[in-house]
Amino acid sequence: MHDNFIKVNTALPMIVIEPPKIFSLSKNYEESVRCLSHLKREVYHPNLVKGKRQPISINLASIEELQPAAALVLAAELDRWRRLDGIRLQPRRLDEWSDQVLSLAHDLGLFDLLEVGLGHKSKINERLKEILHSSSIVSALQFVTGDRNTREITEKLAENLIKQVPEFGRKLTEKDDMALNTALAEASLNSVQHAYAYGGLKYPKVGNRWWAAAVYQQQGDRKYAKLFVYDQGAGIPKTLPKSTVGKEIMRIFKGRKNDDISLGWSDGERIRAALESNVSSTEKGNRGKGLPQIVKAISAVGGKLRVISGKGSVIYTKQDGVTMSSDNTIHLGGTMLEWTFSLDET
Amino acid sequence: MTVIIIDIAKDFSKYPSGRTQEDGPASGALFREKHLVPAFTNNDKVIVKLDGVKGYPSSFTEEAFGGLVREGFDKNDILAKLTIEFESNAYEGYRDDILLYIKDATMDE
Repeated sequence: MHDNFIKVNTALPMIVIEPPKIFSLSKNYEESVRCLSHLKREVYHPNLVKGKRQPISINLASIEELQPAAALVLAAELDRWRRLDGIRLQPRRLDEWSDQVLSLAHDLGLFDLLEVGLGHKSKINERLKEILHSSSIVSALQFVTGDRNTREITEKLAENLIKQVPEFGRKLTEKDDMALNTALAEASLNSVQHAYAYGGLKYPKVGNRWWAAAVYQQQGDRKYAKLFVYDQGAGIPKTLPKSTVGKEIMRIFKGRKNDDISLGWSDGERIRAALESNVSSTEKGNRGKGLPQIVKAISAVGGKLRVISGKGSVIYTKQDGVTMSSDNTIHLGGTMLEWTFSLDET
Repeated sequence: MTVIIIDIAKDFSKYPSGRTQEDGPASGALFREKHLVPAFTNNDKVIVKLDGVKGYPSSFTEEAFGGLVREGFDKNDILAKLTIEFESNAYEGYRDDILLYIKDATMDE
């Protein structure tokens, strides 16, 4: 239990968090993250009524489209609260949840984090049986989590994805498989070694914890396998020491951009530097090879790497290198690494 | 002439990762102290086999092998004694990285 544990007064009116219709980090980042920030504020910095917190619920019935990355961030949030305070949110208006939301929430293991009664469980199972035969577009593996770099966990996740999506496995050579597993290990290591080392986190941490998930997704005629690793740390832009970052960014961007670092670099630019160079929060020359190794894996296997960290967001492909988006206005509350592999025959 | 063979998957772990024990249970520091330091101290030739592991994160290999230099082993001596073996060519990149980490490592890091 963290120090701010406050008893819930169920007699008080409930605070209902309303997520946006499209709950997605790629299609609707600002509204989705604002919703998550609202949830965190109410959980960790609540306005108390007579010393007690109001009950909180999140209305997932308002979501029409739930994307896996955003769902994993939500799952991590619910998991954090459960681990710190032993509190689980009650899902509300389950009958009104869209098929896609119900199916993805179930697959990812979201219901294990919520307080779901037996009656609700049987209703969910009935709905899922119906959904199973409809044209489901996203299927996910249950999220996994750890607070050390226990590699068996991420290797098992990748193995299960290959079992579920054999066409993904067929596309991977032995070298690709190694590169992919190395990248997953590097991602969880990055969380364990760096993400929480900065201190000054806005919300309590649950060890040096990371969460990972895998999905198979069909969008129109196109099919994808995706892997995600998320942590609730300070974010890559903050954990990189300014001095080293400054030097490295100047080196990397020399000839491409103004060398005067006093102008200030966006979060996206810092992530880009971390991916392209051996910059590390430890400031030691033998460190900081992890993120470039993740990039190396994408170069070997193909596909796309998206990194959202702090307010920044970048995409890496072998063809285009690193491309940045403008910084968002809201901090994600951690770092999300997302690998996308096309399963289309080329 | 004494020769030792260290098969990482069989003698240490199929899941090596991380630098220190804080990072994980099969860290580079643990591998170095448990296997590499005794091997390089007591033998003329050290054969390290990479097969059976699904890739090696850089922090593991750098800490294990680069860490030898930081512990005071002479890098030329390490390179003269060390042979890295594998059956699958997929490990070539990891071998190259290990050799680079030894060459790049310095005592004052």
